[in-house]
Amino acid sequence: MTNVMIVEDQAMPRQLFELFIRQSENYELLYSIESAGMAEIYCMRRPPDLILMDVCTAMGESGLEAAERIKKKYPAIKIIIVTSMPECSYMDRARAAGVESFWYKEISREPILELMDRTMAGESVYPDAPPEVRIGAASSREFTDRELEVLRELTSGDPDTEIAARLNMSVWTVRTHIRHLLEKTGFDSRTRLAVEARESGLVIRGY
Amino acid sequence: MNLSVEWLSDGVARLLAAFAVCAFFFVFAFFLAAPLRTRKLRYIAGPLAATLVSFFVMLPWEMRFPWYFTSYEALPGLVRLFGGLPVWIGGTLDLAAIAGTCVSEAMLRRHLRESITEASVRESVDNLPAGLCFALEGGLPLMVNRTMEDLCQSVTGDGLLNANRFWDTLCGKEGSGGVPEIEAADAVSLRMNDGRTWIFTRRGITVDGEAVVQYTATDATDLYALGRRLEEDNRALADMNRRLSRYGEGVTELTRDEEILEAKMQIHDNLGQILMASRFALSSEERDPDFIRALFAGWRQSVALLRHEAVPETAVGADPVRQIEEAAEAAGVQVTFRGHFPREDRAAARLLFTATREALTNAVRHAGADALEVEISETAGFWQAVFRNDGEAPAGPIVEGGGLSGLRRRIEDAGGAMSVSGDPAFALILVLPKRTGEAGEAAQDQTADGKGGLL
Repeated sequence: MTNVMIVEDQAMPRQLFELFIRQSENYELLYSIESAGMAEIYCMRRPPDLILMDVCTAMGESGLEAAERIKKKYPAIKIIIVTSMPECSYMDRARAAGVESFWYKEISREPILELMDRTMAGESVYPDAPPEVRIGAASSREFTDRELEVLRELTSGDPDTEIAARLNMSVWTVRTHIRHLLEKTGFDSRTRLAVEARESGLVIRGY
Repeated sequence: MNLSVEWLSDGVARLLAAFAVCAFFFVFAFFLAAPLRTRKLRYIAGPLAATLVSFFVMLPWEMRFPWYFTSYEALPGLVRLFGGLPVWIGGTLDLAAIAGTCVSEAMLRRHLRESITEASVRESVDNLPAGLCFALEGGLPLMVNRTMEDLCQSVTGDGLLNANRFWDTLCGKEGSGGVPEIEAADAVSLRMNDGRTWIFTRRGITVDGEAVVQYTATDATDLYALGRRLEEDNRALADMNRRLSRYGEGVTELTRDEEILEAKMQIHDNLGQILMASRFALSSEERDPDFIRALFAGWRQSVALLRHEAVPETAVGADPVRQIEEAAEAAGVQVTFRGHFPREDRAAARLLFTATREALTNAVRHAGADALEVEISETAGFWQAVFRNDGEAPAGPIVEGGGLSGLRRRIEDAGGAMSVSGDPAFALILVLPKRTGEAGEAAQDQTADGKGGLL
């Protein structure tokens, strides 16, 4: 029997995952918590075998950061990142943290239980690419990596100088990227650009 | 005294004596002319008198014009008197003449300086930086100073011969050159070709019972420059106010957008999750009653949000204290909170949550503790939290690992401070700036909540 921890702050998917596990014969629910920040604590006394880890969890705690900490201390624990956010950087960060599998809640065709089985069998299952989203007139795949970085920082509302300092680029480069983003999306203001980008989930700061 | 003509036998001596006589007459004429009104006349009168004497008395005699002076006896008595003097007397007379001239000049200067004469009044009026003109009502100028004369020359190209015509010309040119018109009837502003701006005024006065018109011209260049600068400053200020106003409108709009975004994100997330759960429920043969109830509750909440009958939950969401206590219990540690966990200050609440996690992790992993005490207090502007555990004290100096150093960075980025102590027992002390209400929300926005967070 595989002991599972669910880290999910939203009630409905958490209950759904709990239901999946209760109905399965191979898995047993060990913990079901809301904040990734506490996941490591739960692993100290009685670690689970598998964690279904959301990215954006309660108290602003990042599931990706928690996964990285857990993999360092407890590399035997397998982790599946489950998210509904199409944030383009999440898959790369999950791979870098050593996370075994990655599952998009709403679009992944493969049932979560099958993914859990494959993961526990030693496979690493990742989608080919993040879901494509549209920002204004542009597809999320039209943006370069640097443009996405600038777009992510743009949602902070900070001035260009601070964005430039954080990204180690010049203010003029930041403004050039913003101009290109505006040209691609067809938006007439950076505020609209930031709101739309954030609303779509393409770029999310802080997790 | 030897007054004989034989003494004059030497030509040079006679010339010197003649010069002395000239000097004497020069001084005499100088004093004679002292009461004259101007220095120019005085300086002309003295030398002129001396020259005349030299010419008519000394020179003809020296040149021995037989037709004019036939003998020494024929000379005028005064010439005969001085012509017979010794040379040293002539020299002394010269020196006396020079000294007398200097004294006379000094006296005159003092007199001019200490007394107001008609000339000095005129000179002062001429040197006024303002233009001044007095004229009869018909336009005939009685007095025009140099400044006004120059201004008239500049405006009309001619001298001030008729004050009324000059005024009409000024009125006709008012407004040209970008200088604003003065609304008063008896005042005109005008910019000259040299760039200076003048204000002309006209006022009727009475002098000795006679009606006279006084015209003045005041240099207002600096005044207008200051006025222009003030106008520019006012324009810049108005522009800033417009921008500030637009910014204010933008902020209001942005805040509204953020609230809408918050609601939309939650509706979006809820609907997505509920649809996913509903798909499962519909496709599953088994019906879990609890899950079906939760599913219906989720639909009701989403519909309420769509109808604006419910407000989105805050991102703090579940009770942080309960989450910590449950995690600690799973790790075998008893957590005791003293004080108030600042749920209303979302930024501080999140940092304290993270700090508690670090303190709990260290208590279990490094100290082998069974209990963790979290003491939270507040002052006017800060939250303070002290974390202590009952485990073993650190053996040596505390080296901040990835967890503590990451926490320190976040605390300091938020404007707070952190200190770690290992003696006598491990203690983590935090100070965080208070942010409540909108400020707290705004501060939290900087960390960009991933689910319904603000910009």
